[in-house]
Amino acid sequence: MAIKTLEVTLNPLVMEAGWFQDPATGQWYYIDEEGRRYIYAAGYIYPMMQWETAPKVVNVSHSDTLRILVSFKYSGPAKTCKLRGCIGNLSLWNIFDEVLWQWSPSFTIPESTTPTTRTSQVDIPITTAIAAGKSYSIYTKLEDGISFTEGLTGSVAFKDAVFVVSAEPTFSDFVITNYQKV
Amino acid sequence: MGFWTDITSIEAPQKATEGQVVNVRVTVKNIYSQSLWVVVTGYVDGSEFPQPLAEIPGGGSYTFDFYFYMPARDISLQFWSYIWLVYPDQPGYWQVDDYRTASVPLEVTVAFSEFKITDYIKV
Repeated sequence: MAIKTLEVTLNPLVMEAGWFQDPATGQWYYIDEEGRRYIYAAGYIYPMMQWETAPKVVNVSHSDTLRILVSFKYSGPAKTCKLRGCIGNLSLWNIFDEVLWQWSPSFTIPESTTPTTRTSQVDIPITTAIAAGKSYSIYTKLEDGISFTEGLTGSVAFKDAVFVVSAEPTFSDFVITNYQKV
Repeated sequence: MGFWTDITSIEAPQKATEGQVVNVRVTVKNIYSQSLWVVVTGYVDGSEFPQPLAEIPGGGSYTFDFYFYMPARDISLQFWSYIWLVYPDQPGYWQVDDYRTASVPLEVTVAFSEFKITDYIKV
């Protein structure tokens, strides 16, 4: 297997498949034949994700449900799959650490000979697995016989898209703002 | 089977992807005892193929080659064999003889793109 030196950004559109090493950090990366990017650590490779700042923050409480809506283009024979929605954290090396996840019911993408825009959605019940008072990130991907390729079968990760509001009454920032004779 | 000829086979791929060159081979057998001039005409999705001509000896076979570019839909193929007939004191003419059809279904490849989160809301 050819080993190459990492000289450009990890853009799958311009890089060949293979192993790459960042000369500055010595970190090893792997890009497969379909452009998926992985990072090597302790004998394993982990899929890397692209992170974007969330376009908005949705406040949720435990027992709420977060609905994530997606769109994608598809051409091919009719295909049955599920949408997996994940809530989690940005972990080391851009890995998405999934804390809460849920699958949509199975659905069938109709056959299409030309790329056709499809939509889907997944509901994730908010449980105490995610802590109140913290922000979390989200991403989604298609599953059931569909491999993950960012931007093709899965989304980029939205950083800090969800804030878990405490269900308990919470007071803070108590100060005297004024005092006067009345 | 016709009276003079038999289109014994139409060889075409079982499936083809859009834009693929589809090669089609049509084999005609001369079932007459003497040599015949045979032309094969064909239509792909309503458009006529070129009309190749061959002299086939009595009892022999000849394979005619055609091709087309696969459109974004299933294709029906139709072929006719014609023979050149000449009777005494009459002008020769092409006589339609045998007919055979085939189909080439479109092979649709799987492609995903532009996957993105469009919104997320509390429900």
